[in-house]
Order: sequence, then structure tokens, then C-alpha cells
Amino acid sequence: MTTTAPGPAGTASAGAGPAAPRRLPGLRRAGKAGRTRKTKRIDGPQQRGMMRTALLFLLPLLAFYLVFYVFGFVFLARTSLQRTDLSFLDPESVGLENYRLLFTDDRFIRALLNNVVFAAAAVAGALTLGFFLAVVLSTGMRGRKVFYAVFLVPSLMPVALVASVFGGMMENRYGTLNETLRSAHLDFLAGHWLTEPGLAYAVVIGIFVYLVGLPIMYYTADLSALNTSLLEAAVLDGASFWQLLRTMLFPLMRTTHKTVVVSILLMSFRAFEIVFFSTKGGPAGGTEISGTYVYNYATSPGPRVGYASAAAVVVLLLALLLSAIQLRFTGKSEE
Amino acid sequence: MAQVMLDQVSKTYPNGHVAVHGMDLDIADGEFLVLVGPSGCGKSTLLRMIAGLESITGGELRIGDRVVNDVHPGDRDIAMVFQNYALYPHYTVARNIAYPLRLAKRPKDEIDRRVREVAAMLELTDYLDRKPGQLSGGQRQRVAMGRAIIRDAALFLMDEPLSNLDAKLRVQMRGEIARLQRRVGTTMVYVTHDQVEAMTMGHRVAVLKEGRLQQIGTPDEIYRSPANTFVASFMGTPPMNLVEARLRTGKGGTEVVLGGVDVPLPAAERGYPEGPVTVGVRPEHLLDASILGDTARHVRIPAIVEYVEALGAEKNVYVTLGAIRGDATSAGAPIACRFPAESAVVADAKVELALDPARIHLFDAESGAALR
Repeated sequence: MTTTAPGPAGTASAGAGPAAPRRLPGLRRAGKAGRTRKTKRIDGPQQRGMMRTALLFLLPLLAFYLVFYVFGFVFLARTSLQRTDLSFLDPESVGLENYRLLFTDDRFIRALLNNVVFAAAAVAGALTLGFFLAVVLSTGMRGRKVFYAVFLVPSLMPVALVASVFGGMMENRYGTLNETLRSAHLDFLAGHWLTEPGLAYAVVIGIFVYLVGLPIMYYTADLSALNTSLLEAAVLDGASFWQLLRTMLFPLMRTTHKTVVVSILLMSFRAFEIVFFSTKGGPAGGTEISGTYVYNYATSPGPRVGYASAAAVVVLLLALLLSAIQLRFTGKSEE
Repeated sequence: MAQVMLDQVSKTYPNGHVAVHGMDLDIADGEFLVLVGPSGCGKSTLLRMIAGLESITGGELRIGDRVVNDVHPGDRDIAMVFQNYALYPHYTVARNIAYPLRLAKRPKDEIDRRVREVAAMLELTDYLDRKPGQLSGGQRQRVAMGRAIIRDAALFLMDEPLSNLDAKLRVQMRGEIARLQRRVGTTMVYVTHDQVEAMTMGHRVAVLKEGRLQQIGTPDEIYRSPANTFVASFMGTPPMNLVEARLRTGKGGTEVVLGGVDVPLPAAERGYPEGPVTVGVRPEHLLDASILGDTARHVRIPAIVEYVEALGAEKNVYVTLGAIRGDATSAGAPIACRFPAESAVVADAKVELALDPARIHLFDAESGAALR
């Protein structure tokens, strides 16, 4: 549940007062209806009292949710139908024009595609490299705690920091990477990492894959709960290490694969910092993703906030769709 | 098929704990050997050492002609059935059974044929397409067996395979496993803590305690002449009665006093010096004198019934020896006797026990070792 839309959340607090109390009676009614339908048997004065208490406890969070999510989204959706700038003064209603423009903009389509490509690369990295590292680290090798730290710490640090460091290291003239290559007389390997389209793309993919710590953690948790006699049985049946990986460990981690895939897909929508702090979406929008696209339009001069809002709405709906898929997946695996 | 030889095999953990002390075992080709003992006796560790899942820290393990101490578990030609069956949950029954052959890259039609044969042998044909999660405990057990026998391994290892089944199924599977082993003729090492399984299934039984071999022999030998008080009390339900007593020389030769009665020992047991001794008597050798009739060889011992467990075909009767309660010789746990159902004993009544002195076992009072 995240939106890359800048702005609206900050201005929304003005509506906090009236919004929350007005919605309360309606919520109550909904609660009652739900109760009579589902739990007829335990209906009674006591239950009604409990329901009231439960609602009371929910209230603060509901208010927060209404202000920052519901109001924020409504504001965003309304703005997406307007031509306006960041001052939100004198908006001009343009209907669905922003959306029409959006879907005819190759740059937006490419940003969405890049989202998918980067996510796919991160998923591939997690399912192969992340999974493999988790397995190796779970075998109880020496120094595994150090390695855990090495892989996990980048994932715990702000992504902006990691991306900035990468960006700095990859800089053409004074970046550590090129300096190192040059001092090792490997000048021919030094490249315009952030400005040459292919290389920039590779760098962003590299950062996505580099943040493999979280998948490693998911896999390690699942591996530690694994019934070891399954592996012992497979070893006695003659399985080699690779056969163990392929026929036992990988298929047995199925639920974790799902978690990893969906969480990375969702993460890719908020991977704004990765791109912004390394290539800034460049060169020429080559590594742009939906987040940087929205940001670039919203902050560029001119009345483009409505257009950026439309892009944010589309991205948000896509993220919601992914969340729904995730919920269905997890629901299935619990059966 | 292979014989297995353990020569002073031992297991010492890095923290110094010794799980298995220098163990000598010689398992013949085609033999069904049961390792039995209480939990923590090292039986499972020993089995896992044979499998190669635990390292051997001392001694030598041979399977067939090979020393396999450092051979990878997958190369030892061993099939193992685990306590929790270790079925692969993501594979169907057919795939589970076929797994070892698929790893060995055998031709597909051969695999199919072998899976069908094994499934038929184990009555699993109707379940080949199911996943393990959809099977009952007994069926899972059979799938685990199937995965073991399909390989034609040199050696079967079984680690308490019946302990997760309910009592009725356990009795049934006990017979099935023993039959199966006879049929395929593969050497089998079977670990259990259940002495009934040990008595009924194996050709020979090895009793372990605290990582040491206590006795090895046929179930009959173990039962009839236990090597020490541990084996005596471990095998049999109720276990053998063990009573502290003294040997002395009386008018009939060497005697032992039980319940205030001098019991003359048979000629074979007369050579022992006087002094403290542990006397062992199996419950079924303490008879109800009132329904026995007159026999000359039985000694009569008075006792008082503490309580009676009627099992239908027979009664387990627990008594204290001696004519009156609180007699010096009656200290300790009650003595178990197994009487036929027609015995009329009731709790708190007096009863006369009949004991054939030839049935008495004598153990050293200190070491517990059998005096033979």
C-alpha cells in the first residue's frame, strides 16, 4: 500500500477534523450488518458492547487511514482530471485528457516497462543468487555471521544511501571504480557507467540485485524450519548437492518464492531512490521508472501536476492489483 | 546385500560427550538386527553413523568388504526409513518411490515398472497419484518402505519407523515389516525403544544402554538369560522382578531366602560364595499354588496381594513377599506375578506362590552382571 505521489499527503491534514467523525456512524452500521449476517448466534447486549469498544480502539488508526490514504487518494484522483501546478490555484478541469496523454507518452510506457524489467531482474537475482546464498549460509559454514551481515546490512540501510554510494562509485571521472581500473592499467574497462544507456541500465539492475539481503533472510528463516530428515533421506537416496538444490530445497521453498516475488514486485514500485540517486532516470529517460517519472513531472516547471497525478493514479492501481494477487497467493497457500 | 561389521566404533562429540563407546557388532548378510534401548542410549546415533549421517570418531565400520568410515552417505548403498518417514511433500507417491531411481538416471520404463511392482507389493497402487499429505499414517509408512526397497540397497536402516502409528496399526506393520524383510532378504538394522518390537521382529536383538552394548543374542536368549539386571528389567512386561537377597549355605546346599522361605538353588548355581546377591524371577514363573496342584520341584512362598490387574486371558498380580506386611524381605517395589484368568486372588488377601528354583536368575549385587 504505497503511493509515489508527492504532495497531497502533506496538504491533507487540513481535512482531518471534519472527515473522521462524519464517517463514524456509517462504519458502525456496517459493523452491525456484518455481525447479524455472520455471527447470529452470539448476538446480544454483551457482544454489542464489545463491538463498540473494538471500534473505539480502531478509531485512531481509522482516522489516520482516512486522512492519509482515502483523502489522499481522492485528492490525487481529482487532481488527475485537472490542469494545475503545485500551488493548486485556479485548476482547469480537463476530463480524461491527462490519461490520454499519459498512455500516448512512450516515456511513461518505458518507465512502466523498466519497472517490470528491474523487478524481473531483482526477482531472478533473489530466486537464484539469494536462494543459493541462503542455502550456503544455512549449511553452517565458518564465518556465516559475517556473511549474513555483509548481505543484510545494505538492505537495512536507506536505499537512497546505497544508491548514492553506487552512483558516486560509478561516476565517470572521479568514481572509485574507474579510478581503480585506471590505476590497475585497465583503462579500457573504465566506462561511462551512468551515462551510456546500456551501462546505466546494467548499473540500476546491479543495485536492484545487490539488495538481495531481504530475500536471503526470508529463505534462511524458511530453511531453518525445514525438516532436515527430508534432506538426509534425499542424500541417502543418492542426491548430489545440485540435485538437492533442484529437486528438494527449491521446490520446498515454494511459499517463500511467492513471498519474495510479490514483495520484490511491490518494492520495485517504490524503488524511486535507487534510480533517482544513481542515474536520475537518465540517460534520456533510459532508466526511468514510474516513481522518477512522476517526480520529474511534478517538480518540473509548468502546470504539470495534474498530469503527474494521473501517472501516480495508474501506478497506484497497478500496485493495488499486485497486492490483490499477493493476497490471493497467500490465501491459497494456507489452504 | 551385505554383512556389516562394527569394530570398536565410537562417537565422541566435540564437547567431550561420548554417545557410543567402542561398539563391536557383527551383522550377518540377510540378518534382521534390532537395536533396542531407552532413549539416549545411543541407538539412533549408532544407526546414523552406519548411514553416514553422523561421523564416526573412532573404530572401523565395514559394509560388505568396504571400510565406509569416510564414504559419503549416498555412496554407501543404504536405504533408510526415518521416524517421521521423511516423505517428499511436493512429490506424488509414485515420484517419492521413484526418486532414488530417477537420481540414478535409470530408463523411464524401468522406473515405471519398478514403481508398479513395489506399489503392488505394498498395496499402494491406488494411491500412486496422491501427495503424502493426503495419506494416512500407515500408508505414509508404506511409501517410506517403498522408497527404501525400490533401490535394492545392500542394507536397510530403520529408525523407530512405527513410533508414530497408533497401537493397532503398529501391531499390523510389525508383522508386515518382518515379512517384507524375509521376502527381500536384505540385511536390516532396526532401531526401536519398544521391547515388544525387539522381541517379535528381529533375528537378533542388541540391547544398548548409555552408549554401551549390554547384550546381543536372539530374542529368546535375551529373554531367558539376560546378561545383567538392566537387560533383565528392560525386556518383558511386566519386567523381571529383582529382589536383593543373601546367598547362604543351609542344609540343602546353597540357599537364598525369599519371603522368609529358604529356597535351595539347583546344582548348577551352587558354586557361588555366600553374601549379597540380586535375585531375578520373571512374573510368569511365580505361580498361584492353589491352582497348581502338588509338585515336588516348586517351593511355596507366602505373600500378600497388593493389587490385581485383570487382562482377560490372564491377571497381573502384584504382591509383597512374606506372611505379614512389613516383613523385612518385602521392602521395595511389589513383586509382579502373572496368573491365569481362573486364579481367584483378590487384593489384600494372602496368597501362596509356587516357584521352581530352576527359574531363578542370580545377578551380582554390585555390578548387576549375571552369575552363570
